[in-house]
Amino acid sequence: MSASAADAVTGSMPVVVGRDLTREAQFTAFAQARTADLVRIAYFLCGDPHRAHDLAQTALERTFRHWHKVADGDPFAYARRVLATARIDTWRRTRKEVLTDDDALVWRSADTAPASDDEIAERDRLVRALAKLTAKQRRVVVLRYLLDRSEAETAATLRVSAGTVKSTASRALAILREELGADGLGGSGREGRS
Amino acid sequence: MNAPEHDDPFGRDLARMAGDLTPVVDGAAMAGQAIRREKRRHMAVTVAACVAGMVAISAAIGAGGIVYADRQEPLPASTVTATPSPDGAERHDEPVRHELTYTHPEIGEIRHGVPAGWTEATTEGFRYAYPPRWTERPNDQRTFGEMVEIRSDEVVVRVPGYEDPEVRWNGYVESGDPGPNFWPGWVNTGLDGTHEIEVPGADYAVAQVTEGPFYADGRRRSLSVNVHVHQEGEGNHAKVVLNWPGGEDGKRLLREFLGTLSYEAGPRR
Repeated sequence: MSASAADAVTGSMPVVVGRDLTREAQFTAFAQARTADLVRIAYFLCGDPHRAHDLAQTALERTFRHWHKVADGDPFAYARRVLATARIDTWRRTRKEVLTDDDALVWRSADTAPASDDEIAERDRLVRALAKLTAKQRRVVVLRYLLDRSEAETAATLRVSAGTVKSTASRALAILREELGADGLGGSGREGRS
Repeated sequence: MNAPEHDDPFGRDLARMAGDLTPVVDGAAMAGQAIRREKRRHMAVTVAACVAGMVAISAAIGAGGIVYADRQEPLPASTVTATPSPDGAERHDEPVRHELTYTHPEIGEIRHGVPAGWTEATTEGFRYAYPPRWTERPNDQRTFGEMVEIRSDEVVVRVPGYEDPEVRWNGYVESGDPGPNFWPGWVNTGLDGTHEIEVPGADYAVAQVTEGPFYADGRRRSLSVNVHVHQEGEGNHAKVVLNWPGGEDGKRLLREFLGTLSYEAGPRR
């Protein structure tokens, strides 16, 4: 594969949105840079790699539809909001199905090295724990803790109040503590476990 | 990404568990698909708006007929009447009713070769052929290689007011980007309608076929076909996207088209 194609596949190509480019070219540059991130977010939200791919595709289509409005702002934030507010009700899958379907996606670390078994195991344990949450709780946890959004940003994205974010997060964390606490969080996480 | 605002150690543990793993995806290909789908959607909305407008006009004519020409039968309000086009492109005499059902038909046995009268073409080593009187033209929406569009001589439906109002059956053929086969990490072969096919000179060839309503004319059925091919020996990748007529004739045409695909140089098998 050529270098440019490898960049496209890994999504590591920087966003180059030149004003002299066509709308399609601008959008394609954006998608090359951020689609992998969108699929990753979608995967945490829905827990199904196929559905995550579809959700990311939908987010891209909605983003392209409104490109004239979002291109000069933060198109990734727009696409992320599409994901965060999308229907994710295909979550109800068994653990076996989740693990089997995960084979459909190949994952890499930020340095583009193939993911280690330990990394995947930790990620999958989190995904299974997230499955215990309601869709609303999962959206809050993904935005607030996995994507490091502030309460205000999370509230704005989900169009709820900051108080709702706080209370929803509190309940969600309690459930996750129960799910993950029994086996321990491992590594540096142990010190932070309550 | 923002610096973490929360100071809950457990929240940091969750972020650590999530890690920095990102999936290997073809962002450019997904962008291309998004662009094509959005353009189709836009056209479908335009067609629907045109039809709705014609229904309204028809109803108004019908009402006017009652008031001003009581000896004449008014036009039924539910009838859509479009002006026939000079080249005989289909006119709408009935309201468009989209039958929103999708099936995954079997494509049957594929015989390799080029049917009589078809035009042979090659794009970046990928060989194919298209039916008589169809035409080929370059397309600038490529995502990884050289891309051409093939299109029918038949005008399936006209969409007035559009830059190109003539909607035809068409397909996109793209080939290029040599190297190890990346399609298996991208193509979801678990989808219904997925067929492994044989393409000479290729070590990977998967066709995905869905039959559903044609986006520009809901009374017709059409085949939506995606074909992903990889040339053996770390060669080129190819992708074919078809908006093809449905029904038995469409499936026969598809079989014949798939039989023309090849990454082999030299005489056809």
